Parts: sequence; C-alpha cells; structure tokens
Amino acid sequence: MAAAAPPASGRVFQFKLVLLGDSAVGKSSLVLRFVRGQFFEYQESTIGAAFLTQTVALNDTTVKFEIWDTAGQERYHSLAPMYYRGAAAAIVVYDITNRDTFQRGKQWVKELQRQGNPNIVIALAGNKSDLASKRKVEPEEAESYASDNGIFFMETSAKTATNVNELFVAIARKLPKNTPQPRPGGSGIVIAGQNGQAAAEAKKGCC
Amino acid sequence: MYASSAIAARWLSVSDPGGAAEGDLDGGREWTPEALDDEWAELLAALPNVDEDRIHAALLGGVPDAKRPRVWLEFSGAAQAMAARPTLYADLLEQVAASSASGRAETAVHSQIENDLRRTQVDRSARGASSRGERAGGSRSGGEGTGGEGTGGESDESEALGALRRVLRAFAAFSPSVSYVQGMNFIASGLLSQLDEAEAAFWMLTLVVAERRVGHFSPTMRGNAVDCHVLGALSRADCPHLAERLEALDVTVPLLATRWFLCLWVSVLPHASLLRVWDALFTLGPSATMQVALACMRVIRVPLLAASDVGQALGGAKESLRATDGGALLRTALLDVPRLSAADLAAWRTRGQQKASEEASSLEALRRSRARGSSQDAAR
Repeated sequence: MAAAAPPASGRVFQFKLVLLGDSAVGKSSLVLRFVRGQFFEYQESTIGAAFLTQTVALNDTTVKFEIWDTAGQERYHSLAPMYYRGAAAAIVVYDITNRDTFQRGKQWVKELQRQGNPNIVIALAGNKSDLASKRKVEPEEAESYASDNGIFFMETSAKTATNVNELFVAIARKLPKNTPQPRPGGSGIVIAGQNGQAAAEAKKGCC
Repeated sequence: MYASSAIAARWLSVSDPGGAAEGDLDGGREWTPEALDDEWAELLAALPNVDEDRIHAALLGGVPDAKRPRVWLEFSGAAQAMAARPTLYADLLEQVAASSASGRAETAVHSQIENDLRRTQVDRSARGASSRGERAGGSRSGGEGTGGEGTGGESDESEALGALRRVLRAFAAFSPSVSYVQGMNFIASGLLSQLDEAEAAFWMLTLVVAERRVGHFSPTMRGNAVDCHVLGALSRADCPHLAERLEALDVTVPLLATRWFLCLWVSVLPHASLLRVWDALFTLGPSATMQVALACMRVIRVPLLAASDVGQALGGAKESLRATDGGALLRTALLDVPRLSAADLAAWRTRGQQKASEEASSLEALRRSRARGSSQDAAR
C-alpha cells in the first residue's frame, strides 16, 4: 500500500480522525481499504465504532491516523460526539447513488462545524464512484457545496481503491504540523520514538 | 482479590468450552453429560420455582445443545409470552406483507434492514461448534410464508436471510417506537442460529429489547449510556487501578462496552463462548448481563494495563475477548465478581441515569453556545 510507508526520518504527528455518514455508504470499507488494502462486498455493519490506525508518509514527516469508524444508522447519532470529540479531522461519507445520504452528510458537516473541534479538517467523500451509472449526486454539486462550506471534496471508490489513499494523504497534508496540542483528547503531536513508555507499568496487581 | 494468572490457568484447564463440561475445578460440582441433562430437565419442570444457586451450578456445567432452545425460551419467559399471544407473529408478518403489497413497503426501516441482512455475519466458521450447526433458523420458513421475500428456499443462505428479514420486520412492526436498530440484526441472527422457529427468535428478541436491554435501542439510546456508567462504577470498585489506567489512556467504558451491550457479545466472543454467555443471560435476570460485562472487564484487564495508547488498549481488549473461553467467563461472572441483585442494579441505574442526563445536557449547552457563537460571527 502506498500509504502505509514506514516512518520517514523527521517527525511523527498523530491525529485523531473520525468517519461519519449514513448507514451503508462505505465508511468501514474506506477504512479497510486504506488500512489493510481489503474490500468486502458485504462489510459487517459497525456497532458503536471501530478503531484502526494507519500512517501516511509525507515528504519530511509521518502522519499517524487514529481512525474512529462509526455506526451510521440515525439512531446512533447520540453516540457520535464521543467519537468526534477532539478529532483533528473528519471524513463525512455519502453514497453517490443515494441522494438521501448526501443530505445526511451535509447535516454531519453542520454538526461538526458547530460541535466539533474548532479547527477540524473536514473532507467530504462521495463514495461508490465505481457505480457511476447509478449516480444520483453530481460531483459539481458536491464540489460547490464543499467550497461554500470551507471543506474539501473527493469522489472515492473503496471497491476499486480509486482516490482512497489520495483522500487520506490530502487530509494529512492539510493538518497543521506546527501547533502542539495536549495529548489527552486525541489530536496532538507525538515525537518519533516515544513508544514503550507505558510498557513498564504492565503488571501491577489489582486492589 | 484475584490473580490473572490463576484465571488463565483455570481457562487452560477447560478443554471443552462448547458443550457440557466434564469437570469444574472450583465452585461447582462435576457433571456427567447424563446428570447435566437430567438436571436441566428437572429445572425446566420446576419452573418458575427454581433456586438461583441451582441454576448457577447447572450453568457452570453447561446447557446441553439439544436442550438449549427450550431452556432459553422457558427460562426467559419468551415461551409464555408466545403462548399468550399465539397469532401475533403471523399477524405482524401479514401486516408487513400487506404494506409491502400496497407499495408503502420500502420505508427507511425496510431498506435499513435490507442493507444489513448480508452484513450480519455471525461467525459462520464457529457454528459447527453447536450440533444445531447450519440450520440458521431457516428450515421451517415454508410454514410462515407471509414474509414476502421472493421465492425463497433456493439455498440455506437465502432461507437464513429470509428468516432474519422476517424477524426484524416483525419486530419493527411490533414496536414502531423502537423499530429496527442495528445490533438487533446480530442478536436475531444469533437467536436464529439456535432456535428452530423464527417465531421463537422474534419473541426472544422482543424480550431482550424490552427487559434485558432497557432503553438501549430507544431513540436516544440512553440505556446504553446508563449501563456504561453502571459498568464503569462497578468496574472501578472491582479494580481501581484499571480505572486509573483507562483514564490515563483516555479509554472510556462506552468505547469498550457499547458493542457488548448492543449486540450481546455477538462477534465479540467466539461463538461457543457466546452460547455459554447467552445461556446465563436468558436463564438469569437482567443483572446477569452486567455481571458478564464485569467479568469481561476482568478478562481485558491485563492487555489494558499493558497498553500504552488507545489503539493498543482497544486492540488488546478485542483480541483477548476473541480468545475467551465461555466456561471460564461464566465462572468469573457467576462466582468471582460481586453478585448484583435486581435491586442493586436498579439503584446503580438510577445513579447512572443522573450521570447520563448531566452529560446530555452539557453537550446540549455546548451545542447552543457554539450555535450562538457562529451566528454572532455571521452577524459581524
């Protein structure tokens, strides 16, 4: 995978990223494609959220994403803040063959802009671009919505891998790499080689 | 007080997690398969007047596969509910079929269910662990053909999907205010893997949602927040050191336990272990769910304490649960963690309810202040 490069020399930045969007638009599939290079026609529905990590190598820095992949059904809305809290970036996903999911995506963008981290980088992903013959949302419309709202837009296909790495790389580039933020809460900076600090604490007895 | 190595040692000693265990190292009697079978027959005959300790002892021995459907249905009360309203399930399916025929069918609920049917993968590889194996509840679908799903019957898979579709649609029609919520698909699928009749799975599902998971599937899903608070408090009392570590890692209980509560451990535990856990959940009262959750917190204690970040914590927790033996988990849940009465649980939930409301209102306050802020920005 192009995105899964070993840490280049230089600094490693760690960012929390959350995926939001309607049910069955392909949130988990995008993550799975990006992290493991896999795709399943029927991806098990996500309950609560799933957590994965993946790194992206830029020129002189490495960005490590802590990815929260959330459940899409409307009912799970009340759980979402616990996953987007402190996120440095969000990918709002819709399905280009389903107009309702685009509307739902807009609501997520609005909510993130109101309730999310004030400096959050938001990407709008029109997924399932391989199903262009069934398209219900034109890219021009999504593009113009995105630029009106100060976010960026890409059409993706988790199935064919089109634009999936590109999406994450684009986010990695946009994330600020100069303002350190405190670690707890997610979006912070980590200096390369910090692993293993807590391993020593491993086996204390309880109580 | 417990030592994880002792727990691990006990787990290693259990060779047959799926069916009737041959022996119990502590806290339980040794059962021969015949004795266990007789015991469950006696317990079933004695319902509803059964001593809880006796159920515990039999649970630690295991429920014989052949008795599992009756045990689940009769102990949980689903059989009685089904007998009291014998035509309800068929009526609901007819109602669903009629609304399909009149073109009102493809509601959001139905398309959500359709989306999820093939995305409900109850660990197929592990099904062989049970003698009821691949039946997946579909074998009797001919008798209830009002579900309206195509021709049906071409393959095991489409029959299994058809049964799942009928159970979920019937439930959504039965309880429009709750309707279909993701998570139910996994629970229903697990039920169908063991119960011959989709109707029985339907009744078990109604009972789980109404009595075992109160408020978990409601529009606000507040019940889940409440139970996560309760689990957090109980777990803190059980092991303060773990609670501190979780705080340091910024790993909250909902991150760990939401899936446990909303899927009742489907695709969290191995299938054979899942069945052992469900045996306890359905024969004991609602407190059993919390005791199992607390036992799971003990299972994942070692990887959580060893983790140095969120990813390691959650990954380690997931892996250790995937490798958990059901018999050992039940022993921890029934013998080791403090026993929780129904009254205790109610009291804890009242406190959890307060915390959950506070959280919800502080989130709402944040939303309002941000909304004010952004409208001021716009005005400038």
